Amino acid sequence: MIRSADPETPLLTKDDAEDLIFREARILDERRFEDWLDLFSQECLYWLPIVDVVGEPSLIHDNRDAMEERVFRLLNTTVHAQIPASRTQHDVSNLEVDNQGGGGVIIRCNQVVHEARIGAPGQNGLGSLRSIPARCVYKVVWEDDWKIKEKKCLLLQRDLPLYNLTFIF
Amino acid sequence: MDVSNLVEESNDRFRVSSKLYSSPEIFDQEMRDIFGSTWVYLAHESQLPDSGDYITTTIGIQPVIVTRLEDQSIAVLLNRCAHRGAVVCREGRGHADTFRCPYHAWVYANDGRLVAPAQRTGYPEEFQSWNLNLDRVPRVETYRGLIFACISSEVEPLSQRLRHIKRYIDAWDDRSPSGHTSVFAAVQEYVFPGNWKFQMENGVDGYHGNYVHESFAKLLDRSGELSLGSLTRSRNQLGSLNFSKGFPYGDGLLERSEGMLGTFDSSRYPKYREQLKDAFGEERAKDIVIQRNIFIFPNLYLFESHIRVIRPLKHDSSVVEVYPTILGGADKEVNSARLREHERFFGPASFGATDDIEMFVSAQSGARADYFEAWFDMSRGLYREKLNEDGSRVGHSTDEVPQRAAYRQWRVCMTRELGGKGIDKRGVAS
Repeated sequence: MIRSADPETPLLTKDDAEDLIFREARILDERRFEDWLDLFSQECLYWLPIVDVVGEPSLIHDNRDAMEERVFRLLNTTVHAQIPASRTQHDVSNLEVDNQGGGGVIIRCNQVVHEARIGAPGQNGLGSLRSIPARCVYKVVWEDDWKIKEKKCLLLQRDLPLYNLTFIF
Repeated sequence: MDVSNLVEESNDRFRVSSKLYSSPEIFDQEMRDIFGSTWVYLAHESQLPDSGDYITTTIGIQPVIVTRLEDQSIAVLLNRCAHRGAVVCREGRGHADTFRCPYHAWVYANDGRLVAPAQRTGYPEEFQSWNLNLDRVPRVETYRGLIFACISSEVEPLSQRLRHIKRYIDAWDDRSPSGHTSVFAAVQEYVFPGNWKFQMENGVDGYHGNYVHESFAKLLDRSGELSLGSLTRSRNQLGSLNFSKGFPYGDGLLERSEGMLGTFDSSRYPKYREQLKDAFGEERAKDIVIQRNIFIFPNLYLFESHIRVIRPLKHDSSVVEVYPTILGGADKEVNSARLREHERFFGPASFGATDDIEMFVSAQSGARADYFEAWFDMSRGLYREKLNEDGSRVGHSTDEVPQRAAYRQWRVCMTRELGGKGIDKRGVAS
């Protein structure tokens, strides 16, 4: 029988993991960004690397403060790159749970974020569908509920030229 | 095509035709008359530390290999087999002493010489004299680690080309107390459905910040880093130490002594400031830390945090490569703070550059609305810009001085075959 490494931490079941990741997907697609922040532990990281090496430039390398800033920007400021706003759909698959991953409990899954900005017809950058796939690794911790400590998304196109990733992946 | 009437200048008005952005024919001509005939930035020397190291990129849209030879010099080769035209290198970067064409296995040394065609006996004796080497770009020179090349051999030496902008490049490079600026391995790249010249115009545009980056300013206000009121005041002030500048050869500068949005504030790191003083003296150190965005026509930007390279793809499609830099000799803490601040404002998921790109894309859509005569107006501050004896021009930091400098040079390049018809001779290099 698999046991978690830390006796204080309950075992994360695949159902728990799916519940957390599917909930996150729905929250993001419903643009409930403040609720999204609540899924994370106080000390956390939201990371979209270009190369999977610590210390190198990233697409996104947000600690809690930067995540809150990202959400504040989306909800309370004029973000030209989000006028009109992105409509997204997060599809999750290939989910695996590792209760004895390096340094904690790990959820691995694949995600495809489908994104479209609906607006004036015939204008560049609007009106077409993009599908952006990524391998995602979540480190989660037990804080009377499962919280995300780190969300890392390795975009398939991470080291290719990218366009407008101002929505939350 | 005679394009001289597509850039119009009078005493107080300056405008460029919408066709500069929307016409595929003009794009093709730019690739030949600008990217094919002037110095173009290719790479930073730190990307090729050892002999045999190479990177692949483009000059305009032509694929090239930039490689360091045995004697440490740099060669730029057109990436095209002399046999049947396949590219001989498909990787973005690597290490190789030879390049082998995947099609019929012709092998070239990394200086471009053909070593051997496969199955040599199919060719006559005089084959050696056919000169079937990789084409080598005739002019390659470096300045302060910046590698430039020119496809045309009829071009002034690089030092002459850069003579007006050199002192700003020096100040940029001297931000490294040990004199070693290098780039990270990871590159932020963004692609957008718009013309390359929108990026050319925007990095030295001091007019848009209050509006396009209102969102970022609100973040600074929220975090207590800078109040909205003080930011707007410093932007609008006349007689401040903020300037826009334009130079012969099309270079430009946005200079803000009082700070630039999204830029690392070195005054928060007194030890780093001390290191600069020790290395360069007090006066020089003051100049070095002035915030400047430097544009070097046609495709290079030097920002505090990074080197930015514009790569045109089509008239309505462009890639921009962003290379964050590491300042040798500065503490790790300084370099990592610079990187985090950089990521906050720049890159395809950032809080600043993404809104700029949205403007490029919007302007590309707008450029199609040309049923009537359609112009992009760049007159701001022309009536008040100061023309110096060396041909440089200075204006208020929100004036379109650098944009005009770039388009004057654009016109020089694009009308060269017509004998430079319609060129404004004041302070323009030909």
